Amino acid sequence: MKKHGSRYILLIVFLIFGIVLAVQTKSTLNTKKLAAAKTYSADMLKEQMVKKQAETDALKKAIDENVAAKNEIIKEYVLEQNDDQLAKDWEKVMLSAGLVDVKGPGITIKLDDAPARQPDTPLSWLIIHDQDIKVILNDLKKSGAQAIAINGERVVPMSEQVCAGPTILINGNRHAVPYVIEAIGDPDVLYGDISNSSRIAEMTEFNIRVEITKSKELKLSKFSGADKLDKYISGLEVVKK
Amino acid sequence: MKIARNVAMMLVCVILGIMLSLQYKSVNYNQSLASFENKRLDELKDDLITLQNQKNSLQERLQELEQENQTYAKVKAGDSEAAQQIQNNLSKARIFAGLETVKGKGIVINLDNNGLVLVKDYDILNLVNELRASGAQAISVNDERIVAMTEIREAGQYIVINGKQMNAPFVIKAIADPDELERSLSLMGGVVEGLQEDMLNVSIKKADEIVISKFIDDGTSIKTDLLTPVE
Repeated sequence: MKKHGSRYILLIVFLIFGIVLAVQTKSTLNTKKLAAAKTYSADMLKEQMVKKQAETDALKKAIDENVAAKNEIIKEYVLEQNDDQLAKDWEKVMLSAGLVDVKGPGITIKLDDAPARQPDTPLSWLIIHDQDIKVILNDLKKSGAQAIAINGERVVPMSEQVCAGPTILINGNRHAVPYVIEAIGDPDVLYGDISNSSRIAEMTEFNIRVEITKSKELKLSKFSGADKLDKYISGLEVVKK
Repeated sequence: MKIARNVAMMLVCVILGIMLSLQYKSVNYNQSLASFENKRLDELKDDLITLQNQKNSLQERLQELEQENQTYAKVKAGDSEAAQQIQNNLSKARIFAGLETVKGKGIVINLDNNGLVLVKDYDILNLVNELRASGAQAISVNDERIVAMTEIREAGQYIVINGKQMNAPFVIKAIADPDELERSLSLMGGVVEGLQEDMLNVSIKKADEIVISKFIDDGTSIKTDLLTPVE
């Protein structure tokens, strides 16, 4: 009886052993097969991505060229009208609304969150908020800035600066720290006013990194939506008096 | 003999146990690897779709531009319709810049002092920013049009906008989808609630037609003399 008992145990043990072996082999083989198939399709996808990216870049270039051509035609047209007022007016519109790339003297403000947590200081005091950007922009405008860009995003009449989680939305695009604010205006006036502003003082108090530099020539790109204005004026109808 | 047999049995069982646990781990690992790779593949596919969409809209934009330019090219041949189109283009930029009086659907916000509680510059700044974020296409405060370089400052008893002094009550007009504007302004914890908490008098009214006057360019408040266009 005892002999039979241990024989059964051995039988069961080897049975399980066999099953384990079979399942293991199957699982391993299966993974290898799947992995091969997936690498193949991942490679194909990547290849397609590269191709699409190249096509997209080419399209962007073509669009830029066409926009340039369009602006050229419009400029020629304006000049041909032999109307100084129109030409001057046109330039002012394009400049003040941020529809052309511009250069001029001004200042650059670089802002970055505090480098590390500080004991006894709430985290929210150590990071830059939409409020800070909004107030600094308003300060720049008070001091006579003529053109402003934040991280390359040109400030136009309806530019918003709102909080979107850890980022800030400007012209509908997300931007994260560090923030680089470039403003064209009188460098001395801008520098003096901004470095003495109460908001900047508050920020540096909590170790938020602020760096202000004057510069002889800043280059600001035009508004990212400059060549598709329809979207921004779709609800407006001109009232002629 | 018996002891040796028992020891052998025990060994076999121990090995079997180890194998089972290894097996379990291995199968689990393989499965998680597979799902991880699936996720990566899905991400790649999503990226590809996004890129494709981007490409399509660029293509459309390019076609529009090419057509526009073809029309414009006829101006030189004296086509008056083409000239008209260029004029349209000029006027679009003027509308965008805030240099035309415009009308449209929108809302009117009345903001007033409440006894000793006065409207501050940042109250207006926040409200204007919120209106912009909610898709407003034109905004004015007491008929002063808000343009790109419009400042909002406090100077003694006054609020100064575009270099013009003004006092409460403030009438803030904005053209945009009125429902959307109202929703985002009256959000819980939103701007209007904030103003009410500050004890200011705020009221919002939707309107089917609001007229917002153009920015009056007297050459003093908005200057462009330091800006040089870059070709």
